[in-house]
Amino acid sequence: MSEITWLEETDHRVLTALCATDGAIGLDALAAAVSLDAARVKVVVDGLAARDLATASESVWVELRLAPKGKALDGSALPERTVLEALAAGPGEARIAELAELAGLDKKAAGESLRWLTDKGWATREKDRVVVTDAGRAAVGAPGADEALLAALAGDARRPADDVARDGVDLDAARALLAKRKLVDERRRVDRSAAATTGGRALIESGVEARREVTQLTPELLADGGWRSVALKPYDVTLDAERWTPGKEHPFRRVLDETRRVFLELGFEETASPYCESSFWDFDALFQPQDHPARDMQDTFYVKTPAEARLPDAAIVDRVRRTHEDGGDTGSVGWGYTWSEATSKTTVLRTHTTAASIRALADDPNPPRKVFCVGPVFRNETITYKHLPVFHQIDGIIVDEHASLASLLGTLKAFYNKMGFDRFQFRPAFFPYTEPSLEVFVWHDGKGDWVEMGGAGIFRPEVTQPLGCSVPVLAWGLGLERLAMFRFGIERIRDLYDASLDWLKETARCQW
Amino acid sequence: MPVVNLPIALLNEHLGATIAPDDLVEHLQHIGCDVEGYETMGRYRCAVCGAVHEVAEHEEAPVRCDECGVDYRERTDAVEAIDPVDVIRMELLPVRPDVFDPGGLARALRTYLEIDMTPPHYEAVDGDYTVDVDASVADVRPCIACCVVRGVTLDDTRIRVVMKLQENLHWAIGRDRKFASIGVYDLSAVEGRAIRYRTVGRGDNAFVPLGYTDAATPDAILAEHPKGKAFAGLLEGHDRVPLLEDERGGVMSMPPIINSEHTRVTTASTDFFIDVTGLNPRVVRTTLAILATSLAELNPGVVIERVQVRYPDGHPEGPAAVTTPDLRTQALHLDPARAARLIGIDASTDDVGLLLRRMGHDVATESDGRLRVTAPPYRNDLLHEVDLVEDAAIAYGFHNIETRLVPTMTVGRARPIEDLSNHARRVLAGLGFLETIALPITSKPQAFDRIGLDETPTLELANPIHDDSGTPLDILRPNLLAGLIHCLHRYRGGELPQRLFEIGDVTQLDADRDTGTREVRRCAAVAIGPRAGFAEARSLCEAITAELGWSLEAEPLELGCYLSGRAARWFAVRGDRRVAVGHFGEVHPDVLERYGLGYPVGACEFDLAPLDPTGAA
Repeated sequence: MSEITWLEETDHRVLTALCATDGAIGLDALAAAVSLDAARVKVVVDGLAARDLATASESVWVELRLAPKGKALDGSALPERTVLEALAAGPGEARIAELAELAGLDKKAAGESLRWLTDKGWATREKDRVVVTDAGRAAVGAPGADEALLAALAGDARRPADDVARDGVDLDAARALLAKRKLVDERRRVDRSAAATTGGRALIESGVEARREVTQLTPELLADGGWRSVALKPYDVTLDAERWTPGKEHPFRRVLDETRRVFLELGFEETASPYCESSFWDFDALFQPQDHPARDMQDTFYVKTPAEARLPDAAIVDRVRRTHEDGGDTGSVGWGYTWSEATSKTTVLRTHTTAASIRALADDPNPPRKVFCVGPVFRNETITYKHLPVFHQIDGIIVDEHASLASLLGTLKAFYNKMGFDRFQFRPAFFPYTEPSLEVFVWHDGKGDWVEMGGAGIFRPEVTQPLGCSVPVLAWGLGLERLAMFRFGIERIRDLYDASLDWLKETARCQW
Repeated sequence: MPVVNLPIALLNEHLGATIAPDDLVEHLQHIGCDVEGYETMGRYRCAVCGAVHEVAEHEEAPVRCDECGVDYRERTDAVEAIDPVDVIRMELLPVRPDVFDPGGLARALRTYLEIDMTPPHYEAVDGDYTVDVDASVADVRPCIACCVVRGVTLDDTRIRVVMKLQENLHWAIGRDRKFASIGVYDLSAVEGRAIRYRTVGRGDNAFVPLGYTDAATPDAILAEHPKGKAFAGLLEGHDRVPLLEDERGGVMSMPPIINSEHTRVTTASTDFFIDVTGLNPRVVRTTLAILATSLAELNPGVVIERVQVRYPDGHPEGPAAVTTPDLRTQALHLDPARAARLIGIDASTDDVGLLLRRMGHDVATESDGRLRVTAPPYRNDLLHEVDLVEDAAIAYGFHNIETRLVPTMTVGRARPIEDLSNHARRVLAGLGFLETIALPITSKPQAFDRIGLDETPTLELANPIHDDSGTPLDILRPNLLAGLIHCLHRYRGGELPQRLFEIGDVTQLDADRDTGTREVRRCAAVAIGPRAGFAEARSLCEAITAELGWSLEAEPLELGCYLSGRAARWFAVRGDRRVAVGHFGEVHPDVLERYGLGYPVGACEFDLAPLDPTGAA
């Protein structure tokens, strides 16, 4: 403990009073001496004791006093005693109806006495009569333990139980007899006392300074330096304080933004594409045949206004058409059907961000390029807790003569590593616009299973060549909601968008 | 995607090797099968139609036959339990219908695991069955391909395999029987050799459909039979329906709906007649090739017989005679060095050749170093050399590929609007605002009317979905404010004040863009509480404007979502530039009332792009 150079004013006053007493002093006396209430003095003494300046001790004792019913007896004998003495003075029996008159009691007291006469075994009831027993006769003139206690407490005395016992009252017997009568109160009492320790005395003798206690440090105290001569009240630092939450980004925003940052770090340029997209860019340019089930109304949102999009450069459109029909110049046999320009003009809400990738590739098919897009995509799904008509994807392409399936897997690994996943599987899959194609699975500890995160592959020549690109183009489209749900421990995708105010406030910025 | 149960014993039998279920699962995943796991299935045979039903052991026995419709609760004698079977459960990959059944899958694994490297080879022999196609089918279901298969033995396991294979081919290639539908008949019930494919009136030619005891007209079958009801849509709008008949006029089937009961295949059947009808000759022929070769795998030693299909004058394919099935192999070429480069592995010509042989191809090296690849007839997914590259990559194993990054250096570049959006997010978060993210799909009442705004032309969906209350969600949001007010509504009763913002895209019509629309990056914010209102909104907007490097100027504005006299048009000024960015104000009590909000709300919404000092956003 560091050296004490000052004491808070009240502490000082109380310790000084303690030093004025040899040995211990009761807290009540102490309170009177320092003119403080007892509760406050107790807090101060406890504080002094914690600093070894004083000792606090307490003794527990039982206080006995007459209860209101006991006081009401007003010093007179118990009714059964009065009746017993009256009966014993006569023939030792009487009709119950005559008891009150015989003993000089009111009817209620006389009635009550019956119960205790029989309880104590002093008398028995025989039909309408009361007859004194041998025990009753023996009790005449010999007060019981209960009566002795009542006598000891007469005059509204409050006496320690030990004191009463010392006077020869058998307390256990008295308590047993009085158990059902509410004539005597017992209270547990604590006597607290305190004494100054040697250290405390030495401190006061050294003339330690007393300072006024202050809770709030005020501008005035700071301005005049008064804070130096006051005691700043110590707080219970373990107590809770008012809860603050900062203004912040949506938790899912941080996942979206981290995703962007990962690809920026990997040297990708960011792109975007319209939410309302032509079927040409959403499907046809990706070699998705026009009768493909993904283009059905039950999977894709079609747009009524505007219902039609303008197609790009006629040469590109023609190359795409020929590729669908018979492979064109791509070395493919194509899908073998008659391609419809009208179908490719229909507008849809983009079903994948690959539409952004393919537009970026068409804008500049010359390697080397790395492009990514993070954004919402739309599927005609009924809103449930598990499904929403909108979700977010990270789509990317690498246009590079050195690109290979190995570097596609390496890029995907780099992404998921940076997002905090270290176990993946790449399984063969099928997409109309990539070959080879694969699906990415990450290991999810909570589920104890592999979870599919998205698809990837190398764009088919049927996709790249009509756009004037002749080097491999690696491509991927990965869902981001699932990643966020894992990170935040959310079971229902809808909770990301219908987040509660508390969840927004309390979800920590850093998730480890 | 449908899940198929592959009996493990049957798979091992056809593999010619015994492979533990766990290893099978791993191999199947490596070749691209979506395996769910393996389990024991209880089995029940339908005494009426012979169908075999499988149910997981923890599931109830079937209560009705989904093939013929008989109700087992009414006819308890119509169903009997048979031996259970251990199966691998696998989700089907529509692009590889040749591995939908244990025969086809065993064929793929045999070479992949190098158990037997003989490339699959199938011969059809000449037969004497013919199919005469009537010109009238051209409008309904023009194409047909047929074959005869002799010497088949079907036990309960195999009959179910054939049934499920048909069903799954219907799904994957046939798109629920639209593009291709299959009929398999007991040849001994087919009279004569000259089959006829024609159309009949809906009330004509009553026959007993599969699972029935009484004859019914096509119309009655389409209205009452379970399969008739399920697929009636495929014949909708046609007065006449297709019918396949034998030489004596006995009805074999009504494609693509139902076969006749008397040609039903049972475990006693050994010789089959098979037809595939559809809309496109390539699809029906491929489907037939896959089915015929899978049957040949399931029953080694069967004889496949050709059938001559004669198309008449006036039919898109006619006049011509075509012999089916087409079991010819496909010849492709592959540059092995290019394949190795594209996969990113070190592999010699021989290495690549071996990888392809493991995928069931026959491979020879040409004098120019290229590989001449002979692909089996059941592979309908090979459009280009790169499809062989994928086959080689799968044989190599994606898990065996050493991953790397492309060696080329490129410079990363964020979109300026995203950088600016993040600046704005930091400013608003610093001012104590919480970001929300709403779905961009919304409804017109929500976006306009309910926040007091007049409707403006906007993108509209042709096939909207509906929200919980049944309101069609038919537009992409034209503003962010409506979503934020809705958030305040949801957060009623929460601690005050509440300060929320969203930064995201709204969609506008724009005839200058190729799609006729464009996204505009917006920021909107709302604050509710006893002290909220115009003054707070103005303080907020001034802070944002200043932090983004501009100063604010305001002009009075009348806008339905704000109280009259407490709304401003918001301009940003920087040197001699002055741009309109948005608006702010105190939300109209009408709106507060509508949303049950008991405190004043200050709000703003603005475009971010004009605030980019570089002009790049």
